[in-house]
Amino acid sequence: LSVLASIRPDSWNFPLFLHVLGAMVLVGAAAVGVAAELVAGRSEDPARLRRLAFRTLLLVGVPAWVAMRVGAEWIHSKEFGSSSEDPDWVGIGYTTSEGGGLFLLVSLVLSGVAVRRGRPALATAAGVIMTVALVGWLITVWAMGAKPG
Amino acid sequence: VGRCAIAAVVLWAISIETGRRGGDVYTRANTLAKELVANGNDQPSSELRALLRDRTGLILNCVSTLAVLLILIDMIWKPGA
Repeated sequence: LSVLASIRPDSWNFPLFLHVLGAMVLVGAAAVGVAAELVAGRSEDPARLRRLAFRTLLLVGVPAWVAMRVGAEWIHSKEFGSSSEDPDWVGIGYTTSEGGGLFLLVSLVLSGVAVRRGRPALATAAGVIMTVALVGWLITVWAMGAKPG
Repeated sequence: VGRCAIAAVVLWAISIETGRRGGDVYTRANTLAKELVANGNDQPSSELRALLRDRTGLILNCVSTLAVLLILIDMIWKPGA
């Protein structure tokens, strides 16, 4: 059965590639953003690390989220069509991708304001929010592999 | 074990080793920068600039990234499976 499950039409490969590549880059960008925001307060040049976090989330995180989400919808349309019944792991993916996208947006705004107006508390809040999103995405990585339900 | 699985393991080993060696260059730059500051030298340093612009470090990091990308392609398209 697992052999059968690993076989898929060639036309599914590119959407899956786009989805997984987007997710990999997104998790990497989120990890850099979280580390830079939360470590900034203890560094000698906190403004520089906060700028790095903001630019990473904006220039890498957002495009990666879009690629991951577009790829997800594309592969979903091919694999499940218009079926209204999604397995649990797909539901977990929808919840964390859309919820995480909202967290990414809020974190980006807080991070941008923190950089522009020099407010460390907002940068820390952005780091904490991104940590929650990152934990959700890591759980999703497990769900996409283990496919519960 | 399929050929694509062996290829993935080889690519993974390449990625880890090139990433480690590429990182060494920037670790040396970090150490040098700290030494310069500890000695009261806050001026631009040609040695530090050379380390940060080291082509070998850049190439090794690019190879490491490319190997990860190839693992993903290998695992999805499974050539030879």
